[in-house]
Amino acid sequence: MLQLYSTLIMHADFDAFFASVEQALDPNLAGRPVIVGGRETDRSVVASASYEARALGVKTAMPLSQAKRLCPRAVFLRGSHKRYTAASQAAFSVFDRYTPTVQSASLDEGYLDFTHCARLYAWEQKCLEHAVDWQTVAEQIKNEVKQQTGVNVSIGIGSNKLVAKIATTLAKPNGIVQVWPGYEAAFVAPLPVGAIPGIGSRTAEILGTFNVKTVDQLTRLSRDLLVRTFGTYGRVLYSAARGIGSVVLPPPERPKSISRETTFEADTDDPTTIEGMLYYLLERAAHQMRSIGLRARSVSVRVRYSDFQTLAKSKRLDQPTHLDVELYRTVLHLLERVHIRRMRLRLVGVTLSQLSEARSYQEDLFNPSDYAAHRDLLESVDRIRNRYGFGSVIAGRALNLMKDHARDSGGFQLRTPALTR
Amino acid sequence: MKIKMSLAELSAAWGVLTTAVPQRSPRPVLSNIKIRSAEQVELSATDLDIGIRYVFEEAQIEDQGEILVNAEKMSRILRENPSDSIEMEGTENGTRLSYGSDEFHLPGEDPSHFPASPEFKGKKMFEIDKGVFQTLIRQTAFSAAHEETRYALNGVLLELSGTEFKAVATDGKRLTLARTKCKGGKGMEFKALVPLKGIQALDKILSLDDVSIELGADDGNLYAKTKRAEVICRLLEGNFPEYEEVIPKGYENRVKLNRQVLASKLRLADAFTTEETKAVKMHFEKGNLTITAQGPESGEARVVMAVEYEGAPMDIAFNPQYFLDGMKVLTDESVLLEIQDANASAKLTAGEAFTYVIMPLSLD
Repeated sequence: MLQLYSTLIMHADFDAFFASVEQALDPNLAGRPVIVGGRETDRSVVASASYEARALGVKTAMPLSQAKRLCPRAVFLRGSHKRYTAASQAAFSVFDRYTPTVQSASLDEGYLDFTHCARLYAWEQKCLEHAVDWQTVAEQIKNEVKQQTGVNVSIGIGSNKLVAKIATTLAKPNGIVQVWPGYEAAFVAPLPVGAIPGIGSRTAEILGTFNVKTVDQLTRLSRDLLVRTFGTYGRVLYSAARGIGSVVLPPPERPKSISRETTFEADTDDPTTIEGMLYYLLERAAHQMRSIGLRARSVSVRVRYSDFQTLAKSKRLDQPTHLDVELYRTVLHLLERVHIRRMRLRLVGVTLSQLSEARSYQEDLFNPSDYAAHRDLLESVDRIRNRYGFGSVIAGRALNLMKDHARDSGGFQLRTPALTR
Repeated sequence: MKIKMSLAELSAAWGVLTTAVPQRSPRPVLSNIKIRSAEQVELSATDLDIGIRYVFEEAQIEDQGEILVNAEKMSRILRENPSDSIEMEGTENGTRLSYGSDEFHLPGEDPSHFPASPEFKGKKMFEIDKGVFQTLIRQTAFSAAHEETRYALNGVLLELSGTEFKAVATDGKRLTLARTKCKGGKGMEFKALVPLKGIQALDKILSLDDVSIELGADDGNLYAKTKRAEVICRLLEGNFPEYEEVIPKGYENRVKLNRQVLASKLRLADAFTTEETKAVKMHFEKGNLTITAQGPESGEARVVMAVEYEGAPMDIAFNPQYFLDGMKVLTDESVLLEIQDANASAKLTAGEAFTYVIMPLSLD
């Protein structure tokens, strides 16, 4: 009989993350071996290698010189953490749309808890809860991440985090592997012990002395023996060998701040461009902040002059707010205090911080606010943008950017890829 | 110069005078308090925005002259409350302080470098009862702003027109107006926007003892005079808002509330708010006022008090602290609350003398 998932976790992991991001951003790199970690002459190691390079034997953590010997025609790149963070954020915002419970394990890897979403997807797929086709949901996620970031993601589906994560390794590259409920133990049994996350060469070596090479063999060791040998970790091993893992995702951490910044195509002192760009960056930051239900108590503005001098100022607001119009008033006020030299700017940025879940707005005696109107307007704009892309609505002084910035549904094309999804 | 002063009186006076001593100043001489002995002993302090002069009562003058005493050092001596009296003497290279077996030397600074106290003679002033005035400033000062950007709100507006004396303060979210009849100053115009620091100094001076205070203002300064002390304070520049326009003439929905019960219920609900979600919802219906509070981490509270409310059922959200601040400065048994709807201000009054206007919160 078909068993039902009582819990359902998906694990998503980018394929060759850094290298794939580079390939996605530069079409010239598509299909070529790409190695991120440094120039081929650098005395560093491979941080990420594209599948084209892996085919020639290049592996992560291999010295670059060795990679160069294996794959002399590879494109070697230093890489940019900023670009990877941006791609990662884009992917996680896709995940967030599929389930409210997402745990980021690292930049390129995350868990999605669907345990309490079955009814929602049953409704969408017009079927009963137990009949939801999770494979289709995973495919939708894959496609959307690919569309947003240009990078392939592999997905493992299982009843717990352990099984989902192991399934992902088998799904790579660019695949989906689903472990049916009730088959967890059978799924892990034939794998080498090294397939269990956390078992490194040292643990594998110790297990080797017990003549344990596969997970199936591991199940023959008693819990007592494992605890005596490995301490508390022995208990984890005992469960893992039987396909039992955690189903609990820690609650998402509230970010400390949300920033958006970008470098101008050419340094500028044109106030309409500077104010327009700050408005656009503020909108992007505030949109992100609202999407996670937060409000900001503090705003800061950062500028970098042509000579690379950087100035930043911040201001604590009277009360937390999530309204663009109020935040922008402070941004303009701060811009006056940082744009004080007669020199062009090369970069501007906005940071929202002291974030909280405040849900009230204190009205003013002398300046009647249009709080409810602004709030409702933004709610609608956010909905439109979530559906048709950020660039589907251009508002306020961001209109200033239209004359000399290319634009698509994702928004204006800026030099910061995070803002050019 | 040589004098002997009562330590109890010095302690009280020092507490008042130090409000005018700047924390940091480009002029180090201002970190001192000047003591001058002639026919009587006078203490003065100033940060150039506010100046206080105090005439000492219990001092024995052995020799006339002027000395400077570091305010902070003396405060620390007084904190130990070491004796009944203290001797001060100007020496060649500074000041000597002593009592019992303890003795201190302060390095010399030239008392002539200390700014002179302004003259009060010839100022047009009017008199008002000390207790009444103190009540007025205490009932209003709490609602003043503490903000750089709304500079003109960082104080209390004192106003005399005809026989009515008013104090008004607002931070833009709430406004307090306290008023009294004042017989002194007939036909005199008086309007002064006094910074909170000045208000604080006046309050402290009135807590020493006296029966009345005289007030006057000209050229951007406030002059205040009691039996023992004189205060001059630079007024706030900028325009205080047209406050009368935001005081509702009166709403249809009125409810009489027991002040202490309301405060107690609000404190209970307030315990279930957080700094992030400082909000309570007040639900008015026939016979009852229900106050609720809730936060994602702080839990939920629902408290009910019986009231004589006859109007339509209504929900309004407020920062509970605003109400509690108001309850604290009143002594009346009951207050009258007038409300209109969830978006309009609420008006709380205690007779004719006290009016408090509070803006609501918009809740999502």
